[in-house]
Amino acid sequence: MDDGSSGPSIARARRLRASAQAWAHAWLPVLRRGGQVLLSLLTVIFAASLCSFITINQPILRVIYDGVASFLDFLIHLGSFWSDVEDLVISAYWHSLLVLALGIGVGLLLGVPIGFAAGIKPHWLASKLLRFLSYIGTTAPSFLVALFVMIFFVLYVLPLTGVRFILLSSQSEAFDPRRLIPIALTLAVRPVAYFTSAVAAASRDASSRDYVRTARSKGLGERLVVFRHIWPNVWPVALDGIPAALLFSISSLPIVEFVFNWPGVGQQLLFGIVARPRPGIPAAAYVSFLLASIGITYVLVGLAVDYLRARADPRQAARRRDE
Amino acid sequence: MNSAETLAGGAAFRRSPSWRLLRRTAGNPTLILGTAILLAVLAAALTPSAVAPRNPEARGPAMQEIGGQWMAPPYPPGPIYPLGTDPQARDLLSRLIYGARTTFVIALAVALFRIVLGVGLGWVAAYYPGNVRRNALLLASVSATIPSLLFAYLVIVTVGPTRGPILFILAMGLTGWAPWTQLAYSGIQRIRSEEYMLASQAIGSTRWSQARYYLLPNLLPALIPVAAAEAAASLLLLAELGFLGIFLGATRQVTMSSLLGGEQPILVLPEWGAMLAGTRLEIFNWWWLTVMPALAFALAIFGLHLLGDGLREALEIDQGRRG
Repeated sequence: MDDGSSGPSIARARRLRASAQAWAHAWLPVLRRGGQVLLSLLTVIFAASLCSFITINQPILRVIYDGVASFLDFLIHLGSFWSDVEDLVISAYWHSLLVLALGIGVGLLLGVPIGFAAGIKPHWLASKLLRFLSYIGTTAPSFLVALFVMIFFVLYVLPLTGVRFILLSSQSEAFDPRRLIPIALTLAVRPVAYFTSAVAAASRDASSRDYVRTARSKGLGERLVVFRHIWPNVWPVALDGIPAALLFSISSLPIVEFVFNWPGVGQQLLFGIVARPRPGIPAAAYVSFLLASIGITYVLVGLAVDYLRARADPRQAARRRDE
Repeated sequence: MNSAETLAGGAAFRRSPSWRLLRRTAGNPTLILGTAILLAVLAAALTPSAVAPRNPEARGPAMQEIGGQWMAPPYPPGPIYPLGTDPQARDLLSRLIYGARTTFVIALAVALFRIVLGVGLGWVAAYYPGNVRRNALLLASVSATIPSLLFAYLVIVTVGPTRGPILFILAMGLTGWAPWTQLAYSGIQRIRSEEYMLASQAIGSTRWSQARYYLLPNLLPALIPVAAAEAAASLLLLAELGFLGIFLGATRQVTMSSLLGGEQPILVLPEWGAMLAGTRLEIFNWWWLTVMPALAFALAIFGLHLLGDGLREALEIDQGRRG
């Protein structure tokens, strides 16, 4: 119901809005400009204080200068630094290369056939179970796997066989082939899981393709279908997965070598960061050589996989011929 | 309400987004299991005093009769202490429950830091072509080759683990963001070539409104599942650092002897990583000291992975239906 007072109140509201707009129109640019000036002042104060604090309170410039100078010294005298730590780096590198190769080898040997079987028979209960286990394997923390492997070998394998596979004392640094088995098994867990899931997915995909259906409808034997039509489309996936599996193993290397006290690159990196390997040798040089050794290995493996793939995969070979 | 109204109400509910969400979730066991695990951990993290059976700092008696035998701490898991106690006779279950908050806050902060850094750089690479894009992507490629564990270990050991959570977040978050850059860059490039983005540009939308109304809603479904995996990766890194003797609340610098797990550190605050520190050799004497925190980590990591995969599955189904 209109009581006659709504007209003036609306007019008042309009007048208020108009005056607010006029005020905003007049003052907003000033406020914006003022805000910009204030922001600039604050930035200058912030930058000046930060510079003062990090240069005067902390000797950061000296630290940066020392770091750059020692890095340049390292680059200039690379040969001399290398000869100082050559034996240590080579020994650590071979220790790690051995367990990495074994880990990837076990991963390929177990993961590829398991994944292939799980992929071509996806409805089997065992296949579903294997897929679940491979999922757990890729997500399980490496140190937990290492601890469980250690417990398994100490509590079950040692009483059964009488052979000590786990030697944890710091005196047991000499190369002992028995120690390889638990370390390689631990490092193989993630590659096995990775190869299983990748190969299973590729096999499932290849099994559902038209050419496989055609081969089956033509009455070809199951073994022929599997090994003539499915397998040639699956193995390149396994080959492609080697660098990724290697990366998994490398990322687990420090923890696994630390748990098993294996004097490889991973463990030596951890120790090298904390202390010098020998008196007089800078830890940074040692750590640099160790990191470079693993980095070079990773790049070389990637290149080797690319080369093998290009040579052995008929599709890539045909594409190269066409080009 | 008569039966017709009830039926109509039921049909309306069955057509509602809540019902669709409920149905989609019910058919996704991965999502249910992941959510259940995380809810349990979150309940512990948010209301520890309501869930924990004891004060995490309360020490048990110096001697206790367990299973008919008088024992000194650490007490094994049993009816009195479900997960056992530490060498100071403090209840492990209560310490794990109270430690969940610190552990998760650090892991989530690291994940957030990586996501913001990676997505920000991906956005820059997508919107600024030429040298900026090339350098941003090159920076991401270089960062991807740095092992997160070794980098975090190096930074924290060099600066000092006593510096607090900011150092941990920076050291853990400054690597591992490269996949986010790639993901955001490719996602933004894909979305920008879509017709609705071209249409929004044609009608003169600002860059902000394009990001707010078109880019983010289409980018988030691809990012959310990976964010859960990122939180799991951060948690794993925290566990590995803890296992190596680098944990929040450390009272002194890491030494070679503490690295090899020869001594138990002083734990100032209950945190899962700290509970793993120095327990490498305890697995043969007091296994619960190592296994219980490790299992807590493994369970949380598994839950986050399940949540991520469940969300991915749900979002793919949703996008498939819309498509």
